[in-house]
Amino acid sequence: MTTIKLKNYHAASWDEPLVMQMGSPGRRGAILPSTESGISDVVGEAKNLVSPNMQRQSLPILPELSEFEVEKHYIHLSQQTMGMMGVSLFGTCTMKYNPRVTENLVYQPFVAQLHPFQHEDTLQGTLEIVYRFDELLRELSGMSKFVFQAGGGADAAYTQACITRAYHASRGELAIRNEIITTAQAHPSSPATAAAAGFKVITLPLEADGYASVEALRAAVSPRTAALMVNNPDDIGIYNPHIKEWVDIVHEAGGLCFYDHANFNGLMTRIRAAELGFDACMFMLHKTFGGPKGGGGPAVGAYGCTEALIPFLPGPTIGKNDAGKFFIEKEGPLSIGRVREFWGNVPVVIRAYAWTRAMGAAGLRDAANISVLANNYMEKRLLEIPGITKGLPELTKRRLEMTRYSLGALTADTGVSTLDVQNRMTDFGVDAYWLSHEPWFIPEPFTPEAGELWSIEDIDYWIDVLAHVCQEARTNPDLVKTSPHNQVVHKMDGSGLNDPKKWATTWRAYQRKYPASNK
Amino acid sequence: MKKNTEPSPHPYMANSNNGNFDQMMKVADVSDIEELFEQIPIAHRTKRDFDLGPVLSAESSLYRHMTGILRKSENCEDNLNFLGAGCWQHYVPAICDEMVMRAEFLTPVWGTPSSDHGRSQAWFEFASQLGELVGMEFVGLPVYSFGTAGGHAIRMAARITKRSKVLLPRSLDPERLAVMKTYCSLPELTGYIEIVLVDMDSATGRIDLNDLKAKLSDEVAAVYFDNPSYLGVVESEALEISRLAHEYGAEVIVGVDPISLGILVPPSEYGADIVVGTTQPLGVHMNCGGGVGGFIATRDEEKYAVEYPTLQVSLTNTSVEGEMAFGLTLFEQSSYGSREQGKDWTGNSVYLWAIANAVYMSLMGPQGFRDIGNSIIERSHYAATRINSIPGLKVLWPEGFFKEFVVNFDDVAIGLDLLHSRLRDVGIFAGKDLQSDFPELGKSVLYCVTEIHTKEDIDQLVAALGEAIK
Amino acid sequence: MRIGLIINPIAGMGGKVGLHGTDGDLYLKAQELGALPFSRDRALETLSSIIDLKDKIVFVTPQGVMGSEIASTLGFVTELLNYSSQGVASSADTKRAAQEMLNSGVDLILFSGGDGTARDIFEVVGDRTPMLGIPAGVKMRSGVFSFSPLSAGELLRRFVVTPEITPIHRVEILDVVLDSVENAWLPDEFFGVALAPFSQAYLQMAKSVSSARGDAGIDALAQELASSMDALSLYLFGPGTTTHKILVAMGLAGDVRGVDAVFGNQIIGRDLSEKEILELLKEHPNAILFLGVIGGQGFLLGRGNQQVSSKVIEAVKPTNVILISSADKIGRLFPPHLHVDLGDGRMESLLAGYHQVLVAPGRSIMCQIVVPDRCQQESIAV
Repeated sequence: MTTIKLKNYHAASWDEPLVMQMGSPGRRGAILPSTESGISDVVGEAKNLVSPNMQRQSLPILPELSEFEVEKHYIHLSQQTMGMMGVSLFGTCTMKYNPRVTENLVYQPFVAQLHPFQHEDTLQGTLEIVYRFDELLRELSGMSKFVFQAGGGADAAYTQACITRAYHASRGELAIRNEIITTAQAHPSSPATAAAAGFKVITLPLEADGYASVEALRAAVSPRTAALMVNNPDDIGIYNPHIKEWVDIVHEAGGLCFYDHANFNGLMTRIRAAELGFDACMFMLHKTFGGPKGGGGPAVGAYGCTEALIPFLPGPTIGKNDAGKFFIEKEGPLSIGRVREFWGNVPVVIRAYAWTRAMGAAGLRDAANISVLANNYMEKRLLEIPGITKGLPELTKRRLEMTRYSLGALTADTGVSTLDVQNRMTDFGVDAYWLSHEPWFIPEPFTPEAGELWSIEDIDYWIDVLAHVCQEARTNPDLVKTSPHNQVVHKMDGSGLNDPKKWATTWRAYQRKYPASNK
Repeated sequence: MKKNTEPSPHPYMANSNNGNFDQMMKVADVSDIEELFEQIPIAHRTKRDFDLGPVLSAESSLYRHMTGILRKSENCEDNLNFLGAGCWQHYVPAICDEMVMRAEFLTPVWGTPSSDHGRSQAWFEFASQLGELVGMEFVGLPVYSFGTAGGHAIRMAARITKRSKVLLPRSLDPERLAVMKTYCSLPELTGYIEIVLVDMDSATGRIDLNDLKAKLSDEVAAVYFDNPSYLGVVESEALEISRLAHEYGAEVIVGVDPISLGILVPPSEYGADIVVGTTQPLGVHMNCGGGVGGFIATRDEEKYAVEYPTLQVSLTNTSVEGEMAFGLTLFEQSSYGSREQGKDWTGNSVYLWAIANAVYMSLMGPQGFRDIGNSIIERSHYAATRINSIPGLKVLWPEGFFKEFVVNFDDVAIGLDLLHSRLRDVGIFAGKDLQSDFPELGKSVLYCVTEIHTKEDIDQLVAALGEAIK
Repeated sequence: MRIGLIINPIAGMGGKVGLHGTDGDLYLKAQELGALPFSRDRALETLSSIIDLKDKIVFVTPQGVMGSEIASTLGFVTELLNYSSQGVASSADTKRAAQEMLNSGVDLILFSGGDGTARDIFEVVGDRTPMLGIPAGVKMRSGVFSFSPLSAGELLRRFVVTPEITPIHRVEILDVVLDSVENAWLPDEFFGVALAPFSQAYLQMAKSVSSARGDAGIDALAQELASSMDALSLYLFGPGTTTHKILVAMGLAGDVRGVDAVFGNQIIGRDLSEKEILELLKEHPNAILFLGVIGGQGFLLGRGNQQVSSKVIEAVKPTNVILISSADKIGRLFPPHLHVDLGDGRMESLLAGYHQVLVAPGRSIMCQIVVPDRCQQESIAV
């Protein structure tokens, strides 16, 4: 491999003020159509249509800007956002290309200008896409039905927790079955949603072989077991080979088994969740299936289940009759109701459907192969960098699409932490890497995932930047610790963020707490 | 090397060419790609092939396939739409769409406060401007929807008061009520919150204060109400509702449609402790319900702040004098920070829409909000007045509403299904049928009229209604 | 800010030569074996990392190797104590320095050493002055130690620059001691509860975000357990801060160092011996025993709580033992094994296997109790 020359990068820095600090009284960014006289003649003055005690007295203190000023301001803010436009090998989130063609499609009136309560006769195209995508996910997972109401992966985990509740309640066992088992390596949303749904949470810790033990699970299950919520592989790239046995143990105890497919990329076309015995699974359309991240949604956690759990699904659901007509079906009496209004982030489902069709089954296989290969390629190169070690190095089997590494050795030598390195890498146009979910059992962690999107040049560049920063940590640690230096702004002072006297989530609060800022 | 494992070049995968693939195989020291999957036991591998239909890797084919299907739907631009009920058709300024389509805003996953500074600033501007509208100083980043915001707010109130009963209005949106119910768990489990509905005064559509008094007690964690209500009615006795709730030590949660707040008094002024609401009207398309988003706002008090389940950004400074940065406050109380010991949970939400919302609020400005409020209230009252004058049709509460109103069809013979089908035939999507959700209102329909509806549109509806009920 | 500085110049010398400390006469032995001082270097590393705080800190310190030498070399302002140690710094020197600091008033005592040094200072200052240890000993089990010299610097920086967000936490002082009669090492001994600065922000970097929350979970758990107690059972509380929190939640004043007993919502015994516990159990056979996880090694029994003997466990019955710990403490154990050392192979193997450790209300972690392999010893005994 050839060493790539590091880019002489600097982020756009407009020194852009807050929109609340801009403008001039009386300027307008938008004008409303004037009310036709025929309307005023009938209803009179708007003021008289609101009872006096409910009328707003003073206008809200909002910026007053012309339309172009608003456009320019937010263009500047967009330019001050790296997003995926550098190199982003962000582990657990599977960075994918978000095809522009679907971006253009979903802003057309035939997607954007639809109302969810339109009669089903007028929504046939939309329902068809949603139904067809349900079919594709069924094919990929072996499940019997998918719903798209959950607004993200965590919301799909919550859907599972609610379905677990409804399922055991319907059998009169909920008062006893009030424990959900998960592992320390499950995404935090599994234990968190189980707890929020009212369950007790039993966590199985990670053991020396890289996953929780069958014995721990056996000790944890009981007549109180309501469900198991796990991911596999976890986000350090280790696959639990005993997962079928796990499912059997939990089923024997009377619990449901939920498969969080957050880390599906390396498994695509090799396994089916239903064949492993799972009752339900979840795919993140904004990760594995090419939907955009949006900085945190709108997203979709597609939740699929076996026949037995269909009655508990949130409604409404979408079906197809023998005549080929698509219909919206109200939920039945056992349904959990809703986890969110309406039937999901439809534009995200449309994007994911398009992405999957553009890839095809062979494409998904290629993507899985390339992403796992790229991870193993990275490993060879990363472990040549002094100060970097692999998490759980004694486990020598090839990792799947991501691997967790540790900068602990570098930190011990130099005092430079993984957060410092993360910051410094952005100085070269590299997006922050993923560290680790809680709890951190690997010191100073970082978790890259190359995926199938990024070119070998991008991957090499990412590694070269990391190697360079590790070298800087030894020769000039202060440079790294005080980074970033080429970014939009310098290193954030986070010291006041948890202090009620200092935090300010709105400009109003800031002006009150820091009177000197009032201009 | 097994040539048959080599990928086919695909526009979404840079290393799908043989050269790069082989190069990686070599460096990774792999001769057969299957070696890399050694962790997955053979017994776990599927034996059935995958059929995902013909591949559409050519963009032109994909485009044709997609539009071919999607165009089968009819939309609210080609038709005249009067559906609201939790998803409202407002005009979305072009710049809102421009910004959310920008790759920089569309693609971030997490970033750092420095590298994704612009996005964080836009988030702060979202929270700041929304805070101005609702009159609150602490605002979280958006949650999935109005209903989930309500659900979280109820849970916050239950944690704050250590009580487990909540009063909700009978007029609450059934769609949102269903969401809130899932947030209140079931009686068999710990943390269950009992939902008690407070009657609606059938004469006014507002909360029945006597019933509220009867149901209030020192076991009540929160009184929740919407303003305007799901049925469009402005709760003009909001101050009294808050006073009663506070008398019993309950928190007051108010759900609002922020587009009304240029003309309606902000909830902070009538006693709201927690304000929740929708963000969709502020520059986001309906997207068949996929445009919904919600928010939570409170006074800037630690008591409330430490119960937020959301992420939130705070303005702070950097190592350089005078430079602004935005960082996450109270991150460790989120489920990212504390797993099952966090406050509820958080994950992907609708943060991209927060940018559309910020752009929308900056475009509108103070006068824009006043004007749009006036425009909506005038147009909707015009529509209500005209419909009320159609023989056989009755607007249940013809005064004191905003944007939405209930039309009763008890005095006409035609069934609503047939009526609505006739209206569809002339390009009109009528309002939301309330019969199954509110049987006590008889044969009623919830109509939504916004700034997009011209006098001509409304007159066309009135004429069509007059025809269709015959 | 006035910061006390004590460097135990001989700390840590035993490690490399196979001794378990330099307490008592072991120092001379260590020297004989050719050990070199390294506590000074560790302190130098810490102080060098905060050199920019020169104008914010006055080091109150003994003259010479125990402090002023390094501080002055780096250009810090120092305020000398009235005495200086000559040659070998003894335990008495450390205590005397701590006493003088207590008298003259310092905001925090920064020291370089091991558990022995921590204990010496703690014996003088108790929980009156916060302590922060630069890890430079052989054994550093006590909670006052930072992870490394640099992290000590970082914590001190936060303590000095942003004291308002650097809370002072209660932490355990532990040490192992030499039994002078048997000349054998006794297991971890719990000495008491000291104060130490704690920075969530820093620990985020060093370890994990959830440290502070773990404590909140235990506090809530203590409340829940306290409110669920009945008047007919005997409740026994093993030593340590975690179990003690339940007593505090019950509004009772126990002795955090030892085993306490509660019956009918009253304390009926403090700091009990094995014999006293067994007598109570005869009287009240219906008993629950709360045990915390001790130190960073995952010990449940046999370290600092020998009074909770196998006979005690037998009488309580293993199923009536409730294990509690902060989630964070368990999170730091990898692999997540708990240990018991009861000198009774039968009871140990009875306890072996997976158990739920409660970490918050409704939250638990399954941990495996791993027991020493005693088969060989037993066969010899037979």
